[in-house]
Amino acid sequence: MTRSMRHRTVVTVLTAFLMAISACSSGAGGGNSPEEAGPPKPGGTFTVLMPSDTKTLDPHKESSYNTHERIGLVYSRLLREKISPDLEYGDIQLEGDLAKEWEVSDDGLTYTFRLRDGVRWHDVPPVNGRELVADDVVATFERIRKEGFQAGLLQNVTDIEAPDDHTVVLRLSEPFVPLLNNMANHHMWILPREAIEGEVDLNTKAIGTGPFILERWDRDVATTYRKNPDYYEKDLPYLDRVVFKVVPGQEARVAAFRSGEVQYAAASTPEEADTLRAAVPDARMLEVGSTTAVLLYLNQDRKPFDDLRVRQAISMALHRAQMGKVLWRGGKYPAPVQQLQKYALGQEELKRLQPYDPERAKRLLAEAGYPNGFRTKLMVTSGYGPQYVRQAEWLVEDLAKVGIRVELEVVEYATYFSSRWPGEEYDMGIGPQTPFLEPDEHLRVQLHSDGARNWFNISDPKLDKMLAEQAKVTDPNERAEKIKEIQRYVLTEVVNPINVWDRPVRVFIQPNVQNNNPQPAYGFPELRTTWLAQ
Amino acid sequence: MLQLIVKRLVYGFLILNIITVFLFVLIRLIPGDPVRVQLADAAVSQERIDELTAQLGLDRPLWAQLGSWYAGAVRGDFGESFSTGRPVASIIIERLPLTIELTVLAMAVAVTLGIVVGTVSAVRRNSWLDNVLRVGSVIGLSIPNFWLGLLLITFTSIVLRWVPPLSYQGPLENLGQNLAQMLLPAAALGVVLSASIARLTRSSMLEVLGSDFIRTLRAKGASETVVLFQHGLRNSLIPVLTYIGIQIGGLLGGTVILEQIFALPGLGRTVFEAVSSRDYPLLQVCVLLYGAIFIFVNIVVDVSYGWINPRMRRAD
Repeated sequence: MTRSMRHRTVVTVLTAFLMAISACSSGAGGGNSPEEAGPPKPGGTFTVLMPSDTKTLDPHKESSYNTHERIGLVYSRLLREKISPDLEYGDIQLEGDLAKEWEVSDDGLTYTFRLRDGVRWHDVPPVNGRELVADDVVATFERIRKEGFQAGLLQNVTDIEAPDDHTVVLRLSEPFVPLLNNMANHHMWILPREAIEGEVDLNTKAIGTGPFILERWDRDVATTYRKNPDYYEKDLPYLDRVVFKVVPGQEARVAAFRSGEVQYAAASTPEEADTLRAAVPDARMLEVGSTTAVLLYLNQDRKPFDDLRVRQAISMALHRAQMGKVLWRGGKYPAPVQQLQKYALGQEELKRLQPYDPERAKRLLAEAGYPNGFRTKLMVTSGYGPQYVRQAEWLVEDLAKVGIRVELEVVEYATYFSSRWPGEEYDMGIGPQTPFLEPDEHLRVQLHSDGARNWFNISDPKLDKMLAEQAKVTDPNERAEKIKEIQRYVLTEVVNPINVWDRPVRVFIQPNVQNNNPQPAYGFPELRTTWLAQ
Repeated sequence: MLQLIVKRLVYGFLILNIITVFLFVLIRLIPGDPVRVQLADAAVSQERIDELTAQLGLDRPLWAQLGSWYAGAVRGDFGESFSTGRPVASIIIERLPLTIELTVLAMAVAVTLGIVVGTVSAVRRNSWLDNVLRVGSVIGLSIPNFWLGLLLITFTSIVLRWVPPLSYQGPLENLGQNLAQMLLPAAALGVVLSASIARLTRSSMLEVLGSDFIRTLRAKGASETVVLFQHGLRNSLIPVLTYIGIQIGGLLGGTVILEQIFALPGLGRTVFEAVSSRDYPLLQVCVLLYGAIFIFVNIVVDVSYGWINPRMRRAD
């Protein structure tokens, strides 16, 4: 019954609040360049609606987008993605955040970061605006290695040192090329040493070096930030205040957008987009690729999914183009690493690698010993909103046409995510890809036979070897080629998880919002440069 | 009378304990893992998951977990929420007032509307007004309150260009804003409940108005106002009051969804999220509290019934 209320994240029919994962995973905004509306005007409050609140502000405890979306305005990282109207969504270019320059030794075993001078912590006790030093970075990374869920991002790092106040050196046991990208990962916030030593309650407080200072956090109501007057980038940020309000219901969010109380709203279905367009006709609409392609995954421990021909047949039975048109009214052919442009395969190639061919699918099934198809079950959760269930229903129809008779099983979100999927208690499942910012994070963790999130039971020695190799290739272009090669292999020779569709996310922005150029990262980095006209 | 109260309280206590054990086992039987829900997006090793599971005490046998829950509960310590680490008792103390306020406001809407409509219907029975009100109350009975809530929020924002303020403020912080936020959810809950109260009031009043003592009253020349309100309405409210008491439980249930729709941080939303995140300690106490309120209200209804209707007192 909560279905009618809307969606996700997560949370979950009680699942309603999860729906907006996409709605909030990175927000979104318009690519208006400042020239169009004159020079940036400081001031104003930017309000963002979130479907649920975070449980803690401790960056090392919770991996949830809810936590990291909220602390991103407060903390900085060593590196960050460039925010610019000239960059497309997903075109991630690294630039220094706290680090002003960095250097990787030729053997790839030593990373040296030089910190900016004169960066100050927020003027909040007990840190009281003291200067950032390399020791803070060391303390943060040590805590991550000890207890952070993101420890994997610092793989192969054996030593972290601060030879002087403005230099941090990381030593590795063997090359790990993703490390640089990982420094810009939206889970790698730098904390003050005082906080790590227990002088700050990290569960409820966040003191950083970022563009905004956390003013208050009223649980399940709102998080309020004010401008950091001492931010190291002169004149930034423009906004006086940012407020995240917790509004679980999509109807209430639409109503708030209609009244102009909030600056933007995301639609995860075409129907929601229609409602928002009607609500504020002069709002700008931005269509961003989703960071979370729809995946149809198969349990290779169970027959007949251990047979590559069966997996190929399933992929060929899906009428992707038609489905995108009818169900999502847009979107793109999907790939394992779609949203990071540097590694993405072209649309033509993806179409060719994932053909719609029910006749060949039938032949493949017959070759595999299933001339009359087979019966199986497909697990889906209503926690991501009704659209995913509809998506699953579409797949059931497509698969029926090649003789695979699928029984749909709708499960509650927490059951799906915390029990059935990781417990590998399913035949087939469907859900969104978890967003990630470094191909290694995704590919190795999910597809390697030892991967912590390989809940598909994929075990392919050739793939394992390719995955291990790409992490050692130091030349960025060569590495990008390797990663494209891996994707081609996954799409044709592994075919699990099957990429179903890269659904579009449509974001509506109030007309007065300027210079809001989002990238697929948590923490609303684009609000640093956003300003409000009028 | 005292005996009645004591007996009801003893029963209530026993029922609460049954609920406790049942709930304790049931919430651990549903599939789902609190640790994995917390780390949903992260690639975490099995060792780390085992470690966190042990930290939460979930690796211990069920009876041992239940034992320590009871040991804490008798000392007033209901444990800590899995997801926030805060004491369950303080979360509930923070969240309960909103839910009580919402329930009371909804009840006020329901009672006022229900009794007025029911009385008017009875007094003007079989008139066009009665027919309209009766059809209206059948519609009201058939509408789920959360659906009415969604309609209200959409309707007011389109037609009146008004949306309730988004950040919740307590009645002591800002009464005006608080009431503006409570208005729509209380109306959604109250209007739906008022339909059944109206029907009950109408039929009960018709029954009373048709009884002998009313005829006697009229015969001795009492004015119509005295007949209808001093005698008719008062006597017909006895079953209505009982019904209202029982409905408090239903209203509390309705708050779970409506607090979600209207972004109100009350106990209802806490339950909703505790279920989603498998926050066992929080869920246990929340649901238990709902159970306790339900039992308590029933005891009050039982006792007050005896108080309102003297014939019932001896019957026990």
